[in-house]
Amino acid sequence: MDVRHDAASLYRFVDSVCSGCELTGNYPAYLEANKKFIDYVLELGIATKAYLRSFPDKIERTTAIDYNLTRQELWLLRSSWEALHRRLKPATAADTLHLPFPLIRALVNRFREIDHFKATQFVVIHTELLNYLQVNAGHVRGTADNIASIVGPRKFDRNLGMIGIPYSQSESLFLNCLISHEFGHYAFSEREVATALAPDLRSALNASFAGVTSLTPNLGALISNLVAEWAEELFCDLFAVRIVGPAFCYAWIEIQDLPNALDHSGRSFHPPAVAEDAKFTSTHPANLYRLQQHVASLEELGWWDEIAGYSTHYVRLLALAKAFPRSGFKVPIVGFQRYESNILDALSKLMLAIRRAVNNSVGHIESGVEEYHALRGTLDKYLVRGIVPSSVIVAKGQVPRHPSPLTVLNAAYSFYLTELHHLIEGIEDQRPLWVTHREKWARKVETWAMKAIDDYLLVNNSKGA
Amino acid sequence: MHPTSESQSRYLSLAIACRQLISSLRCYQEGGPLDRKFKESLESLLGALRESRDENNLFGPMPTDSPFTRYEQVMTLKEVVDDFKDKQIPEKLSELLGAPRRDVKEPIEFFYTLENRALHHYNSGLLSRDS
Repeated sequence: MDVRHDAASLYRFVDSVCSGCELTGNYPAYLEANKKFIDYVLELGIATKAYLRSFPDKIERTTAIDYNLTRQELWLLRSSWEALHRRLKPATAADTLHLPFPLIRALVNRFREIDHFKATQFVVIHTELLNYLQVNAGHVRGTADNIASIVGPRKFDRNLGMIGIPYSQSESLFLNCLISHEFGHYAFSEREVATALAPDLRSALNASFAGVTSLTPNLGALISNLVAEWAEELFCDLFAVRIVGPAFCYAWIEIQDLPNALDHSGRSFHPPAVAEDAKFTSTHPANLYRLQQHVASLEELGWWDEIAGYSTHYVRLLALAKAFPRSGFKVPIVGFQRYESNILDALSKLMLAIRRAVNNSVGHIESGVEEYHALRGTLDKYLVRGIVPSSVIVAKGQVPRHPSPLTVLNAAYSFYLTELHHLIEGIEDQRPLWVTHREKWARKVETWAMKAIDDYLLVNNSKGA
Repeated sequence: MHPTSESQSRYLSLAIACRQLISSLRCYQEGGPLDRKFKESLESLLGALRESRDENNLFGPMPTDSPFTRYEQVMTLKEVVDDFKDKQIPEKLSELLGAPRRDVKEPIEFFYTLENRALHHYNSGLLSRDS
């Protein structure tokens, strides 16, 4: 009788979770991937409930010795459903009306240029966190697979990734470039990069701690895990720079409000502020360290030559980060300070392997620099007149060109950073120095860029996400 | 290391891996073979345990995609192996990788306990904070 009660209790829980999956009619509309995920959870729920109906009979057939072994399946199922439950509501909330649909399609298309990921689709979930970079929804697949292995149906589609965006940012174009970092987490997991990096991590740690005798095994294990977590974040950053280019760096600077580290001249760091950005945490590398790596990647890809001369505090910040001394970085984590230089040295040694892993994961996709170089000036001319740059003529007599979403994104972001005042100056009664006017026209630039991206996808008959 | 939803999910991954090993062992108990996936998983577990106990290895197992190599997972594994210290669990698990058929009652009991401990850690994390 007790087990019947427990099975019924879990049945009720699963039933209530699944009630949110029963979609009727065409509204709201979802990304194909979200629809697949919601349908899959429903299927999993039906199978779980069928399993729970038969569970009491199953456990009655077991011996007394096996009773607890079988009974614990219920607890594992409940825990797995709890983990799934956390992702389900955010997925049903993210209908296409509440997503930057063209941008997501464009970025997913860009991601699918990678040979290994040609069939990948992304479930987009809403998160209450404003920081995109802390969302890693990939564990859902392992949890769903576990439920499936116990209760029966097919496993979670391997080509389905998950990314989270803040629920309030559905209209934003620029900030949502940050989801490419989440693509990085998916790639990190799918390509088993942690396993690939493990020998390099061990070599780096052994070399950097050579001669250190005071380290306890527990602290050593914590350090190897810490550096591995930083390595994953750095991998995802560099992956994002490869996918999106400098627009990712701009978005990251914006959401972290990193210009706060600049002084009144905007050309130097304010020492007390920058000291905070030079600190590593127990989960993430220091902001400045990340920026340094962004710049190194932009240099490698050829982007840095394009943007280094831009008159914007974002690029000045990147240049300052590039020159920031290694001795300025700190690891103020209790118990770790004593080994700060060893830890940072190990990470520095590991960076080469991280960059190699990014290159191996991305393969040979175009950087996008060439088209950006050719079209950025023209796109500026269109945007400063308030014209959607879907089809642009670079020189008189030439056939129109249709800039790719990657070019539109980077050109529009750099326009927003460097040329917005020119746009506003050309409009009656608008003042470039007024915050409300800047906000209004920044929003317009995003809308025009989003429209250009949408037009490109339409012309190219792109299915995307 | 601060508890985070990431570390919580590692406890759940560990519990899930244990259940898969238990399922394979129960099939084996009924006369079936131990498949390649089981052996790979077991090798990974034994490797992590070996590296965590190697006095010359200060950093323990390197974190990989295996569900036995992250800090939380290794600590939980060591806790339970210590609880079974009189039963030579590592040796008995190693024997499963060899050819002759073995009694798997104790390995099943070990994985049941490990799954239980991992689920406790996972669920205590759920209750103790907003993650």
